[in-house]
Amino acid sequence: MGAQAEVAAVEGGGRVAPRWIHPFQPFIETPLCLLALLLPPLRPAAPLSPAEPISQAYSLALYMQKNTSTLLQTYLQHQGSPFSDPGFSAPELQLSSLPPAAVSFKVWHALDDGERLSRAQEAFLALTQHLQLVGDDQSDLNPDSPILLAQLSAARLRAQGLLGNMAAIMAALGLPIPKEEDTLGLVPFGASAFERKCRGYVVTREYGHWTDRVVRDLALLKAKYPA
Amino acid sequence: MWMSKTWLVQAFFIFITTESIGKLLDPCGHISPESPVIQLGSNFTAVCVLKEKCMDNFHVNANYIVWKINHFTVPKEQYAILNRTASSVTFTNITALSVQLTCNILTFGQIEQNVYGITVISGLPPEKPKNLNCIVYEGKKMMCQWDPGRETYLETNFTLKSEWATEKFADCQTKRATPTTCIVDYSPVYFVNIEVWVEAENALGKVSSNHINFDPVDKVKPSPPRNLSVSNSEELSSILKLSWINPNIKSVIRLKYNIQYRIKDDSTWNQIPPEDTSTTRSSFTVQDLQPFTEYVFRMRCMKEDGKGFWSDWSEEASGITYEDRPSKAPSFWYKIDPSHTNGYRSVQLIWKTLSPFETNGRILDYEVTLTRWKSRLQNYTVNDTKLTVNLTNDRYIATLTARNLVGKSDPSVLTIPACDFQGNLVESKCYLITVTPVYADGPGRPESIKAYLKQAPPSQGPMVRTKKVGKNEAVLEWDQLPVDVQNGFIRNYTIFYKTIIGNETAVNVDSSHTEYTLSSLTSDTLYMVRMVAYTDEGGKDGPEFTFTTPKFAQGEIEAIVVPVCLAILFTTLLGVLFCFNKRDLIKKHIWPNVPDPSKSHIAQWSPPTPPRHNFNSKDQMYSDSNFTDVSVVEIEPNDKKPLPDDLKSLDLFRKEKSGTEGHSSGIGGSSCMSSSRPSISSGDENESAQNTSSTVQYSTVVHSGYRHQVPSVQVFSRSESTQPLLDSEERPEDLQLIDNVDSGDNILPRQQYFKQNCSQQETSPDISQFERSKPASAVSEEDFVRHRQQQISDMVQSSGSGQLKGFQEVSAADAFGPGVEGQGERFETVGVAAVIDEGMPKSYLPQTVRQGGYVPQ
Repeated sequence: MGAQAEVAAVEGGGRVAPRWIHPFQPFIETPLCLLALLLPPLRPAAPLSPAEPISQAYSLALYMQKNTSTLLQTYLQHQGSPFSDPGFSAPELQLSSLPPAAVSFKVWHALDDGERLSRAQEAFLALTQHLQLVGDDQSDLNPDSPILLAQLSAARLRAQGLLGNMAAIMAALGLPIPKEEDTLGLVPFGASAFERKCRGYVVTREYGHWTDRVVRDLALLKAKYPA
Repeated sequence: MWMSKTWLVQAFFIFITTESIGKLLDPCGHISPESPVIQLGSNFTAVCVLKEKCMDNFHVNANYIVWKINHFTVPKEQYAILNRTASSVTFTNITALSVQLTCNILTFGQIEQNVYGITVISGLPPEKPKNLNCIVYEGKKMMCQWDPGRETYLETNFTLKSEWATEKFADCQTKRATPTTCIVDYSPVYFVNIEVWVEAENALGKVSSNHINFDPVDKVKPSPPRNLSVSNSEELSSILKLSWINPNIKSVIRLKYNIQYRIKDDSTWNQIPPEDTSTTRSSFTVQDLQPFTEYVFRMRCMKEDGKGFWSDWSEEASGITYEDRPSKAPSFWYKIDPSHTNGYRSVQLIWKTLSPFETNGRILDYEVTLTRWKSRLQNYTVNDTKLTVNLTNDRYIATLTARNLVGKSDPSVLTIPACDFQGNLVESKCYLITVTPVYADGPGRPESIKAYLKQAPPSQGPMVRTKKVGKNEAVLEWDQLPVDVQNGFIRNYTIFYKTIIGNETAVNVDSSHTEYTLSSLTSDTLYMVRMVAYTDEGGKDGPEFTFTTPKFAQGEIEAIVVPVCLAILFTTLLGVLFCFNKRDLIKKHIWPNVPDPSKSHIAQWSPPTPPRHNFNSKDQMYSDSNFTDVSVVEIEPNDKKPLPDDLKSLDLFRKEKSGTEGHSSGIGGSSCMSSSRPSISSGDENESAQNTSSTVQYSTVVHSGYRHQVPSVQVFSRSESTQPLLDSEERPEDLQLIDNVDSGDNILPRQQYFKQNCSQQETSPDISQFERSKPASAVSEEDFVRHRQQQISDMVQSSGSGQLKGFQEVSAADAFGPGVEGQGERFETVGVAAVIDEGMPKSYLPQTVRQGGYVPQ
């Protein structure tokens, strides 16, 4: 995330720099030009319109949404009873390190674009770390389930991709990009298998919920910034 | 690096060793650099350093060093002795990729001893990889490939690097077999832009390609559509419906398609227009196909927006369109068995099977019908392609249709001629001979020719006539001879023409013409013309025709007459123009100024003034005759007076008029306004028009109708208009009354007149009513009225706008007299007339007069 923040900062600077030419600076212009020649070539500027990154992020979120329930089902099937029992659900289980996706409509609706994006950003940052943890747990607990491991890995990768897309949107909208944090903190490595399974359950479940929520967030943004 | 080590090992192929036992493989010297890799075409220097021990043993120094390259001695010029133990050799522009370089010493007895050897490898640094591109096979991992650039002759490693804006991915190392492609080992994440580049590295350098940044979803090559199936439609024989299962990528992207088809035995594919298949779908109906034909289909798909790659072609699938009725009737012919017995003959009908693209299905059977002249149909259903029937010698019409599951073809019709046709050919008759070829697949196009057995001269000549006759030419026309009389082919015509006295002239005309123009004829001449038609065998002339050429050509007369008429017209016009120019002069001479009767006005109207007639008829007549030049004065012979007269009579008359003004109750309106009369008559300015013309129009109207009643009395009326006179003529009773009055009591009728008219015109209705109620005091009232009128008249005359004033006065009168009903209209009209009279004394309208004053009581 640090790298992303830096990149965004450079891009922002790159867009502003060419506009610095002032009408009352004809004599300063030449040295400025020389200075510009001396500067290393800037990265191509990010798309000026936020419509493109929003559209891309929305497509990705929709694509992720199609796979979240499969991921949860696959995960539960591999954990044995009671997880694999039909109709298993434990909504009361939560992880303190993972912000819950559930939010009252009123609160959600009252959020502005920046708040919504930064909350989703925060959540998916946590989710990528948790999915990594769950992947590690599962390669211990279910080393012979490549499908599950692949799905967890794909989910983590997509979550990470979504983070990048959201960062691009925030850069295009001129919003501050939150700094990367270690949301996971100290992981109890000595957790029991059951605890790890529960942890994985909450992560895969919240991954689905957060994906649903971010689809709505992005749909709202998409309507606001049509292509 | 391990590669160069291998070569290094290879380089130690030969050693000379020191004597010392136990120190195996201790070389006598070494070459530096030990394992060089140099760029092709560059310079290279190697140094051989001998060991002191060896130099002592062999009694040599650096001068004894001999360099060899690939076993050939290097010329001494390239050597350089650096010191006692070291010698160097320099090569310029190395072009060999790999050379063995050995350092040798020349020992005692000119024996060369190898000291050390190296392999010099040369090559090129890597070029920047170009055309980097990636492809994502659906369901697989992303593969990228690039163009490595020029050959380096060296081991070159390519590394594919990829990263997100937020994350770096593991490098992708190329495999030895495929150094220009690499498959990344993570699943592609669609909708996240990825940046990819490739680095090439070898011993001489490292270079990186341009970075490409893309969304993997735009690089997808989908799997081809699966389970392509084809079904036909019984309703439409020209369509086939395709259906398929889309690849799974459809859940991520929208698709477009290419669908191709071909007839099974054909090799070229037709493509359905791409715009028809540009959206995601799972079936498509192909139209405009041929019936009962097997088609093969294949299809592929790609991302709808065209980004990415076409999938491979799907598996081919085929289907047959449904049958349609045969599109063509089969070719049909007959053969007649020449041996016929007692009125019957055996006829074999034969036909060809239709070609597969004409049958539009499987032919089930054929249906043959045979129809004799006006007789019933005979039907045959045949599976074979021939039918033999016994027919009478009559003419038959045969039809044939092919039938398949859907329907019958159109029939092909064949006439089987009657059998007894035999050639009794006659001379000089025209025969049409028709030959129809019979090919393997049926009859061809018939060809016909006309022929004669033997020709003869025509039995009639052509009838020639004129179509148009001109002065010097005539257009002749004729009809083609009927075939019956031709007796042969008409080859040409000859036209003979002559005048009655002249020689006959002949003209030959081609047989294709039916018209000929004779030219250079003489005008107004009788010509006789006849015509001969010739066949190969001779000619026959037709009847003679006579015509006469006209004297003048058409339009000749007109050409003479029209200019003459124009000339006359022009002359006339000039004359008129001249007259117009000099019109004043002419007018003065022959056209004196004659007053316009329509502009006349009644200065004094006589009928209601019998007293005047009574007492001054003669004077009046005198003055009339005296003053009128143009008016026709019709006077009774016994009333004739000498024309010369003094002006006094007029003056008298005028005085008389003014004197009797109050009593003479002229026209209704004017009687009341009569006070204006004297002013008009005596007023010079008002009468100026008449005075200048020095004429007063008097006319004498002779009432012959009642002259017998009053033979002795001449009724002279002074008028400017004939109409009042006519009017008065129409009302003899008025005049009779007048006459009666004249003869008898003259006051009462006058009063009546006055009363009537004045009551209409009276400014004060009270007065009028009073008058009506008390006729006895009419005289005094009359005076009073006259006085008033005089006053009005004076006022009018004194003021310039008399008309307006008078009108106002009248309006006032109108306003004062609401009690006068029924006569209101008349009253008003008269009033207006009176007012006009004031302003324009001459325009005394007869109509007004009639309304005002001539209503019989």
